[in-house]
Amino acid sequence: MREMNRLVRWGIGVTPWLVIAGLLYVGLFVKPKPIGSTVIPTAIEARDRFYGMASVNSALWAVGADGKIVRSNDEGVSWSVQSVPTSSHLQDIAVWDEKRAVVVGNDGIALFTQDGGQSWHQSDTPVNDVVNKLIDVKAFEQGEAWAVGAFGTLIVSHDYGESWVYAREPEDFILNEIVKRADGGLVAVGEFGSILISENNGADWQSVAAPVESSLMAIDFQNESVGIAAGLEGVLLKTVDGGFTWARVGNALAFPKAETNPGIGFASSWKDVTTEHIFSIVWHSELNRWFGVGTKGLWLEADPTGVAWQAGRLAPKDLAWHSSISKVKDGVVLAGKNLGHWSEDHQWLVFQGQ
Amino acid sequence: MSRNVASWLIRFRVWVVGVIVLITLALSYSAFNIEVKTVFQDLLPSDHEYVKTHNKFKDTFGGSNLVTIMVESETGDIFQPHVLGAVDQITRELQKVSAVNPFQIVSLASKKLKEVKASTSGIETKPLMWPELPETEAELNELREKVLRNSLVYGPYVSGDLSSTLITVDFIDRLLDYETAFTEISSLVSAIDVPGVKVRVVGDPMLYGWVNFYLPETLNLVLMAGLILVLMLFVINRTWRGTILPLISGFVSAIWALGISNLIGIHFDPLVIVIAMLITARAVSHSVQIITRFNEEVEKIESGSESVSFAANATLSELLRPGILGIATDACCVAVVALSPIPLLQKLALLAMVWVSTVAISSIVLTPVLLSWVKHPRGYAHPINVSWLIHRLLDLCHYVSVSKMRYVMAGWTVIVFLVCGYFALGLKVGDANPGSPILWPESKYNQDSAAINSKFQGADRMFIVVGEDTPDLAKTPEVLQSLQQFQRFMEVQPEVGGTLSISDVLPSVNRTLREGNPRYEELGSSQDINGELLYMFEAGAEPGDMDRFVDTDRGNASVTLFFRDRQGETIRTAVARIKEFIDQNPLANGEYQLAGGLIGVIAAVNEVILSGQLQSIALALLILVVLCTVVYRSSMAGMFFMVPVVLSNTVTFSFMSYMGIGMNINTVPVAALGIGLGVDYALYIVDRIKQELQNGLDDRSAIERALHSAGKGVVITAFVLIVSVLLVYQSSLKFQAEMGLLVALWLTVSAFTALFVMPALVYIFKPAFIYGDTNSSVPVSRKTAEVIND
Repeated sequence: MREMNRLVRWGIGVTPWLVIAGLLYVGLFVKPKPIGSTVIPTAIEARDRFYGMASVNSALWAVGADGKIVRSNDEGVSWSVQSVPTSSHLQDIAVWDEKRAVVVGNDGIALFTQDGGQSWHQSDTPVNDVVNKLIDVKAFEQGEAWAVGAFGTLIVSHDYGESWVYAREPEDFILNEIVKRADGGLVAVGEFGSILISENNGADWQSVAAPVESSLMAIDFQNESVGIAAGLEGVLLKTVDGGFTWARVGNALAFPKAETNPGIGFASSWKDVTTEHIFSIVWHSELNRWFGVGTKGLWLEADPTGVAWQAGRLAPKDLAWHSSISKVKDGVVLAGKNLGHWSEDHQWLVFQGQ
Repeated sequence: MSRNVASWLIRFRVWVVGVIVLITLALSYSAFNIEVKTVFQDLLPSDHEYVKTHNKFKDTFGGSNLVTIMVESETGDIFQPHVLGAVDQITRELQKVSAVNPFQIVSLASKKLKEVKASTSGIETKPLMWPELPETEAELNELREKVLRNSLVYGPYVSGDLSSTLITVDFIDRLLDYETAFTEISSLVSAIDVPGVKVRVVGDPMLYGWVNFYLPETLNLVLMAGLILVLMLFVINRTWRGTILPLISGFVSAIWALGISNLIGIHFDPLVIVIAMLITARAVSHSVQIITRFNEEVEKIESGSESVSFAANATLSELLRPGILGIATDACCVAVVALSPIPLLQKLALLAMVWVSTVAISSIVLTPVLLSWVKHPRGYAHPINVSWLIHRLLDLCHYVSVSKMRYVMAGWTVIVFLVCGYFALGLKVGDANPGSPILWPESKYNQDSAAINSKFQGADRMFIVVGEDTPDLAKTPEVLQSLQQFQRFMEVQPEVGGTLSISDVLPSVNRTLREGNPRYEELGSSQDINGELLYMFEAGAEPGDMDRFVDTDRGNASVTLFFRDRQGETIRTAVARIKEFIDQNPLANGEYQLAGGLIGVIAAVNEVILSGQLQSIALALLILVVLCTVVYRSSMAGMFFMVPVVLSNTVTFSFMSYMGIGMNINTVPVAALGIGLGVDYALYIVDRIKQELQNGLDDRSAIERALHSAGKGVVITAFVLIVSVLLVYQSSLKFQAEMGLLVALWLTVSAFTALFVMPALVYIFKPAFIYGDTNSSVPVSRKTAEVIND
């Protein structure tokens, strides 16, 4: 008992000094460091620029700047970023099915996947000494794929994008898009109004004269004979003979519908819209019409004749450029400064990356 | 000793008062000439890494005094002649504003915003809208198209919906005077009287300008508070001496403090007025204690048998110890603030220390000396008597302290301490809400700020410098790539509205060169190509035009981060992320340097405050404990007086946290003064209990006597001060209002603790330093007690 008392007293006596020592210690040595809160990145960021888009069933893929590949499995509601073995800008994607796809991009890079993008592998691509930038890729049956790009690069793969070979000697102009007609003929367009055609699956290529000298950015065919090519400053060309002769179309755009339509942003007349650059054009066979996109939120549409074109802005204040179109059942999905869905009845929905 | 000092002071009272009057007169000239202003340089901890970077690069990459003006079109977009006219007029007029850096005025109407165009003849760079304004529909459309094409303009300088545009202007820091800048810009902006055009202005010069703008109002409020104080003192004390002497005491200490401060070259920051009030409150409260004690001593004197000077002498000698101890703790606690590396806080600590110290003269010495001249010590100036009410309250205090209730009180204290302590941990460093905490959310400035932040990427900027002093490093692909990655990384944080660097410029130049093809919106693959792109952007530019992005020899590049708010949390997160990025992405050549611009500077200040926060609280407590230990020659005394201090501060901090008041450069000094503030009342009461015990009273009576004398002073001052301080809540400056509220809370809690908790604790624990060594002291004190009781 007495022991206890002494202990308590001793405790009481020593406590104040412990407190003083503690205060001194805190006062001299404790310096808290700032701690920030964690931030979770979204799949789609403000800085993103998507150049290529592909869809298969309800899955969507988009590829873009800084080696970014995103995929959505629910028609664009939610997205996830896939890990990629490069940080080069990726320019386009083509798919065979939900598992197999190929991507091309800067520095002559091609990537392929066989597991829906869980893992991406670098393909074996031929390179030249000047500039290697692959811009467009298309996938066809039995693992065949074609890609075009800067310095006249034209390459082909027969193993689902794993290995590639030159299909033509490089030349100093840029090829922007390649397509296959229904009858198997290959047609590519590019800089200075270049048009190349091969009727023997890439063995020989012939140059065709275009009625313009500016760059052609996009091309697509409705069937084996009717096709549209589009390019800078609103150039639209039509062919009815599989790409051998071309004529300018789209003069009918001059009717001033925009001024009476409040949904058309700041385009004060059709003239403005048609002089915008067109970056992509596709034929949508299910919806039986042509779709096109370009700078400053431009959309284009035409009936199967490919002559009566309409144009406008996706949304009054959406001035983002788009460089790629992919067909879905009720419209098209677009990739560019933003990603979104453009429906057949002209509703524009921007995908937010969750 | 205190007895000797007291009698000496009373004996030479004419000399004492004469000297004090002379010094007051001499200092009043200097006091009335003190400069009232905020000096920008004083706000920065100049040794901090960020501030060094800021000072090194602010002339190139933009200072922290950027003023942002938003011109908003109420109908339609900005591409209308009258809107663009307003932009042009403001841009021109800004050149005439004092201390403006003419090379840092950026708007649609300045030469800085350009468009790069590829044409058949090559690359053309020309200002968007300079020197001539577009007039025709076609010209306006052309300008709109140019803006839409230009990602350096559309977004950063023209809002997404095209309804508003920004003009930003920076100042030459060393020439800048906030008040002048505010007046000149305000008159410039109000001169824009164009229907359909709305102009909003934000930026630190404007913010501090508003503080100055409300200075007269603040002074009026302070005067009103003073008036109410005097009135209430008169009603409650019922004597002229009880009214005028506290006032004289407050006045003299203010004159001395301001006079001395001016002499040693310290100016008066308008936001510091709360601190002035706080210290004046101390002076008044000490003075009231002395007068209350004096009244009591007068009661004891047989009428006519002794002079009032005896009463004055007794008062002085009894109150010297608690009075001086209270002032010493106040002064030392606030001195701890001077350890901060921020010059403003150092100067403030010095000012407060001088001020608090002068209270020793003005209250503890001057008041009793003046009292010794009182002619009719027993008379009252008016018949209204409220003192029964006060004594009823004090009876309650006594009941609580000596009944079983004392355990309840002690228990409650512990609970309150724990609960408030928990909430106090939520106290934030830095601003806790968007908008400036100095002004009310509905003030014009905060409204403007919210409007600008909702339309644009954010009005507050931080810049990070990448590079080193080797020329052309900023053109290397490695640095440019790293910048892009860095920007992408930083933009993930939602409060970072956007980022801008040379790495954004070059890709868009490249795209322009490539027929506007977005697939070529990318950096060059080599230093030479990037150099060429840069050269093309600069072609036709004036020297200094690239300053926003790179320095003259291209050795350093900047990334500007735009922040939507300047909350402490936002800035901490951003800085932590910047450091994370640097750690994970080391550069082979060059390095990242944090951080300039307003947000960079605030980050530095917040870090300094955070790292010093615990330190200053611990050191202030340490000083308190040591002083009490020394004065009462007992280590337990130190522990004992920690109770009111810790309690009042915990409650106040939890209240700050609840109200969303963050610890920033403005609140830190108030908080530091508050630490010392908690103890004064308790000192007077406990010291009195000790005296009465020494005089031989039993502890119940000693506590009763102490509460009804010293406690009465506490009730009076606390009540009077709380009411007058609350008046400041009417201030147009939210900061003043909140600080008024805080001071009131501090006073309430420390008064409550002194009246209810401390006596209860005394009665429960019976600490030896109060009760004394009973065996030896009883005979002596019994005798004294008999003398008094006779």
